[in-house]
Amino acid sequence: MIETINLRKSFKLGKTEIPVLKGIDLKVKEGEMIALLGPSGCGKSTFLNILGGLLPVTSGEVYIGGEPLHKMNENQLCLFRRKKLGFVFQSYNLIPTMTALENVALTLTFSGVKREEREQRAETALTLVGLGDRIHHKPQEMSGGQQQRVSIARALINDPDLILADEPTGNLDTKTSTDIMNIIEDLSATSSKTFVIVTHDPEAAEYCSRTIHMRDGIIENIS
Amino acid sequence: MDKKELVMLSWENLWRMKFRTILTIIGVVIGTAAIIIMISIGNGAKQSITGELTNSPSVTTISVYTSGQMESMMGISTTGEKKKKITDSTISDISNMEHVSAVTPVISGGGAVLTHKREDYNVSTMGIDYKEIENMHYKLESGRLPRSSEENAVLIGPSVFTKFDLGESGFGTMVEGDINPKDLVGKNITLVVQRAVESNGQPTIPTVANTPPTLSENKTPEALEESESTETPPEAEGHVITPTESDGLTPTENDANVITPTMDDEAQVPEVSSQPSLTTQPPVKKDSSEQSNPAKSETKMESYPVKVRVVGVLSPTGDQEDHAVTMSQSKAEEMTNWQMRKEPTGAKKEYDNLKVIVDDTENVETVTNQIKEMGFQVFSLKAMLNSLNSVFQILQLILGGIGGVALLVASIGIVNTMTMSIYERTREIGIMKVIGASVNDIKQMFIVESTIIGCIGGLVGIIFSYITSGLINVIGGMAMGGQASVAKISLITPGLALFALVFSTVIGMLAGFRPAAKAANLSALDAIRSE
Ligand SMILES: Nc1ncnc2c1ncn2[C@@H]1O[C@H](COP(=O)(O)OP(=O)(O)OP(=O)(O)O)[C@@H](O)[C@H]1O
Ligand SMILES: [Mg+2]
Repeated sequence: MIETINLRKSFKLGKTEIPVLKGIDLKVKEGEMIALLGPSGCGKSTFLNILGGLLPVTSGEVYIGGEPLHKMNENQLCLFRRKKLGFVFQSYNLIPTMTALENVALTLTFSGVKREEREQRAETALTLVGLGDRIHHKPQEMSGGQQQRVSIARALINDPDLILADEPTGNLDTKTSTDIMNIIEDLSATSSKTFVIVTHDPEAAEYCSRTIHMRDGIIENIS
Repeated sequence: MDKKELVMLSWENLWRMKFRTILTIIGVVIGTAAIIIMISIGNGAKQSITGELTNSPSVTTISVYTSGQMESMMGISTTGEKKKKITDSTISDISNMEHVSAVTPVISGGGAVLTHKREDYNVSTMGIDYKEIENMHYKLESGRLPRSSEENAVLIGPSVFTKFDLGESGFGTMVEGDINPKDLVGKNITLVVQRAVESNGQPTIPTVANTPPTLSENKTPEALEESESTETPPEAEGHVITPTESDGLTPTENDANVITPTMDDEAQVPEVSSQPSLTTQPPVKKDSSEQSNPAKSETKMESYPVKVRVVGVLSPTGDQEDHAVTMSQSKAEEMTNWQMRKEPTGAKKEYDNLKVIVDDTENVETVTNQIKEMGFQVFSLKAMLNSLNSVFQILQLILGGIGGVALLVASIGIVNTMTMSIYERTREIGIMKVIGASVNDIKQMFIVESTIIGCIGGLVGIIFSYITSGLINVIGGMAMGGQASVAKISLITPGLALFALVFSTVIGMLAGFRPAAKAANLSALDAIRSE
């Protein structure tokens, strides 16, 4: 599902180049649920964003589902995200003026799905994450855990092959974190979707089939 | 993303920030309304001035004058160069031209007095060739056209009895006469022309006490002779008013349609032949009265009644016929010859003025040019309308430009709103990009949003303009008095409304371009990180 070959990424700060990812080789099979652990600033988010086609690589190759992300242009990447990817962020990233239903359905708007079908699918997804009774609530009317569930529902709505989650439990208390991880684990168990979850929480990592430890831009070990 | 979904999404986006959207739309409403109202006022002015004329039969009429005549009418002395004369051969030349349906000389009288129901009306007279009258595109309000053999038949204009009243306010208004011209159809009337009495160089005395002093005062017979020789109709004679009832001398024995002869003041009563003849008879002559105040050296008048029969009333033509009695060429000549003390000559006739009727408005210009080439001066309502229209076009451009500035300001408002909206929605745009919106989706979304603002602003602006325009017309109509309510001050044509809508929509769209490109080029990651 995921294959990276000598993946490097550096950021330019003025004239100096700061290497963040220093040659990452990784293979992830379909249906796996991977935890990405490591100290702050080691490049986890950068790696995840490259996998999501949100950042271009400096060198190396990235294949997702066999497609070479490093060769795609902006429009191809956007189509790729629309069809194959789901994102979950630490800060939920919901549109505050939209209801839960609208937030979830928005993804399908760009895919050209008709409104009726959109809303129906969004409602199903929200029910799946246990928010069937909150579909018309706006983000600020919901708790952090509920908002994160909305964002999970949004990540699921286009039936993606790969879901990338950047510290999905980072803003939540232990109890809610467990709820969220349970939902993700259920989804992983009942579908062939692949999950890559960046986390600082070793407990969250225990839900995953494999844990990748990063340090200073390289993979330290995989357990 | 398909178009309908795009519009729906943009619509929802605008709806989610309704307060700012509405403020921006108000700007566009004001801009659009400013354009519409400004241009509509130009339209109204144009309509009220040219509208009636454009549809009048006179647009196919060309007036022909001898060259230099217009200048002399305006008091400009012309050089002694030989003027081309209008003769019968000119008439036949012009009538042989293509597209010309009728040609007639116009014999303009200095004016006559028509008495009806004991009221005197000063009317102008004009004689035309009755053989051509069928082809002159005259429309009738009532009655019929005179036949070419009917020397005594006349047509009267619809405004013959309309007087210009200066009123107390100082604003002149046209006052409808109490007589409906239609009442005269089929009746005999007498027209009285007047001239100063030739009294062997003695100063003449006014025949009527209430003669407007400015008109005939201090006119010596010599002066009159002079004016005759320059062929300028001596205005004074035509405007003298026949006796009023206060004189106690109105010949009640005549029926209402008969014109009274001119009367002297009471001192002269015995000398007056108070019984006017009903047909053309030698002028009733009165001698100057020595008993009269000698300090007043004024002209004494004599009259010449002509009895005619009204056969029809013309529809408004927008030309001199409206205020005139139109009669046969021979009758008019008879009257002017008497007034000018000219003997009917058997020699080659010359005319001052011809009326040429062209088959279609389209051909007025061609015929006008042909006649100009013959060496005559030409006037046509069509040419005047053309130049008036171009004046109004300029006026509308200026007014529209002023309105345009308002819309320009509104368009800056749209640019501002859309740009602000990028900053406010940066995160939202980032999220959309992350979940699959393409660069084009974002760009189009912004353009559609600003286009919707322009379009709704335009629509509301149109509604607002129609209401404002209605108010302007009602209030303006009241301010100008009843008369003006007929002519609209502000006129919104459907074309103008449509133009304004398209314009504001396009402005909205253009205003969206730059912000849209800016939004679309945002990096998704930077955008979702921003706060
Ligand atoms: N856009 C950028 N420009 C410059 N440097 C960047 C940029 N994004 C990340 N970096 C740098 O890259 C390094 C890795 O950042 P990254 O966000 O991937 O870390 P992380 O492992 O996700 O840390 P954390 O656990 O705190 O989220 C950091 O040192 C950071 O300063
Ligand atoms: Mg991170």
